[in-house]
Amino acid sequence: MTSKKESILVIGGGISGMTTAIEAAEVGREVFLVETDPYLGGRVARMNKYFPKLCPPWCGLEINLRRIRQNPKIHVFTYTDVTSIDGEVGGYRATLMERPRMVTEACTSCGDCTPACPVERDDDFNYGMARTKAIYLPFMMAHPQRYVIDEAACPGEECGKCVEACKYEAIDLAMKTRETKIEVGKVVFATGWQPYEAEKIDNLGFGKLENVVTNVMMERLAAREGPTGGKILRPSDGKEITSIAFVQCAGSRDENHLPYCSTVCCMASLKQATYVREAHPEASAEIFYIDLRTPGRHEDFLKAREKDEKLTLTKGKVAEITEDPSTKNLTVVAEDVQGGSLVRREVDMVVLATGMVPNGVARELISTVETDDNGFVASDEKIGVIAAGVTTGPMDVSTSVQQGTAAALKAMISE
Amino acid sequence: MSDSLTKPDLEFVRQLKAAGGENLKKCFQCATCSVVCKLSPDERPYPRKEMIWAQWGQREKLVTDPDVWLCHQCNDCSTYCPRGARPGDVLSAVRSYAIQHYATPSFMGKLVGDPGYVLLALAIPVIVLLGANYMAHGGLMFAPAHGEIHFSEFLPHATVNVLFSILFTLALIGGGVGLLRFWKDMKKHRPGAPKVGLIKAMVDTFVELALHGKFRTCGTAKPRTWAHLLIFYGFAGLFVVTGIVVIMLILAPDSYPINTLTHPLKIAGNLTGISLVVGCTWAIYNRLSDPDAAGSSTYYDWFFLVVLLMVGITGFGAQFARFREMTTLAYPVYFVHMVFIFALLIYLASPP
Repeated sequence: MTSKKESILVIGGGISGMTTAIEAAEVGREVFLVETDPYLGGRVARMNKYFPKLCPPWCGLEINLRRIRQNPKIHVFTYTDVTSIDGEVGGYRATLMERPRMVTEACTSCGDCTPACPVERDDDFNYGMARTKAIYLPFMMAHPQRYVIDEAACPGEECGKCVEACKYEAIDLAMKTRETKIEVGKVVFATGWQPYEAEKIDNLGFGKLENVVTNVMMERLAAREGPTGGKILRPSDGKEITSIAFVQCAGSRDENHLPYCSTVCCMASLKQATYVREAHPEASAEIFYIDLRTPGRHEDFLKAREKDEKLTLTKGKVAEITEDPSTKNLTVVAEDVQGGSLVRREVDMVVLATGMVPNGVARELISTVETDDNGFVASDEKIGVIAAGVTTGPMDVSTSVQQGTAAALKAMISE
Repeated sequence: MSDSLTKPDLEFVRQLKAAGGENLKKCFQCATCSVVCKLSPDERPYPRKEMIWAQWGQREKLVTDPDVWLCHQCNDCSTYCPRGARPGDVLSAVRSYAIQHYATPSFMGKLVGDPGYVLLALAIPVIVLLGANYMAHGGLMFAPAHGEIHFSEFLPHATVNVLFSILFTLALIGGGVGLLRFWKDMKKHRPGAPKVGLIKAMVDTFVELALHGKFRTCGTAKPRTWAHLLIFYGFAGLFVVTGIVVIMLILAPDSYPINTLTHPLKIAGNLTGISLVVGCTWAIYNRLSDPDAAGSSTYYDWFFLVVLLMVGITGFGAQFARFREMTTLAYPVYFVHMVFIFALLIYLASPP
């Protein structure tokens, strides 16, 4: 048993936080890994494929989940928020509040409860593009592999139909919030990000035009276990798409929205264009960009994509999207900067490449944490606070993993 | 080969920045502006291309660019610009520069475009009008001894008509020459332009001016549309009414035609005068109350607006003093009125 001084609280169970927890625990540190969602994996769990290798994220996540399950030094808290932290480096006291998921460890994920449940909720895992019952498994591979009840949607004990359906007596509708107090030496913030609220970009029509989606939604549309079974059907009528436009820098590098570049959206759109081309070989895709940012080895990915005759790369930012009310087709308008004239393209669907907004938790919990103008956190080893992943700035998955490892080392080495 | 080499005119860039385009270097050529602009055409849209010309000091391209004159400074481009480069302000600065560039003779451009010349710009009409007054009376005469006010006693109608007609004609010739120079340069520097002849272009411009159709499609600076329309019709109405009076005076030099407030011409003059004053006041209010939406105002804009407003105000002042028989006030106000009319007709007809 390591001392409390050496133990580490990792806030955020996405790819960065999981990595930090595993790396620290595997050299013997006690780690508390706290995740607000009812499952581990964060944004990565919702990805269809990684760039540039176009492999699904599940192989990596599975290995990490197994390392977590096998390691008694890692204490995983899902569906849990850190509500307060006080103390100082070497002696932080944190309060963890586990929200009632109403389903106990007796759950086998048999799924008998869902047909019995009479109410539905928006499926936030699929960015609202599907519905689930009030009792649901967040997704097929969720860890912990246990159902959860959405308290806001569930009518409660007066209904109780799921309780009757569960032969393992795993449902406890009277479950209350569970408070845990822990003491740790260091705190790692791996609190991740939210996609920028695309509704705020009023000229691009998200939220008003049905077939305008965001890049994170596109990951779900392309995923085999997603709401469309990986077919990439457009939201308005479920039609298989024949043409698609990607709008780069949707609200990014823009003083009116996010002033910074999120660094991954160009690669993400190039990747998503391959989803379209693979799912619908006859479909055409066009990416409208200010400049394509594919640094380092990603240049090879760009070069390979450029060879696709059905993928057009057009320099010029889309600043207007209109809808034909009868067909729900969209027309994107941009200036083709290299050609010098406005282009209007009618397409079935538009993907807005929106950027990353850091989850601003760190400062609320430890007021001395330093953040930049955009809310990204700087590690401060003097106060035992280390940041990892997108908490420190926009980045891709592999960099997040590197940062997760680095955070583990910083948390262990520094005084 | 030499055609493809770009020679940046750094002094030109500095001047554009000084004239309100100070953020032009922030542009990163995303072309949001060309799309959100409701007035920009599909082929060779603006203002994205103007922004890179401005950054690279392409003076010839910009002064001969007809597109900067299609811009109504709605500022939808500046509102949506992700970099705060304010293309609307940059185009305004280009216009201000082009006005000075094509003003004929060139010092006319300086008089209205350079704040350093403001005193001279006002001194010229003062001296000319005082001189005319001196010559008409054999000495300066600001208020005749008897009570009844006839502005013709300050300056005889014939003197005013001849003086203003000659100067206005000269100014129009200067303006016309400037316009032709621009037209010629545009043909030289912009292959394929103009698409229509000079006459057709002028007719189209007058139709557009009369209706303000394009102006009404503006987003951000929408309030400016109606202010501008009021000013335009105020000015045009006064110009026509004055023209009619001048013609009547030439035909019958001894009888001033409108001595009552109920005379149709007087009513027309007063209504258009109100339109002018209200429009100018509104425009000035817009510029002061929401400078971001209105866009930067060049010195030339302010000069024009203030002169127009002063013409209106002093016109009403002179009329008021005349009908109230305030002899000591009437003639000096009339004098100031004439000074501003001089500034309006001579200076503003001159630059194209």
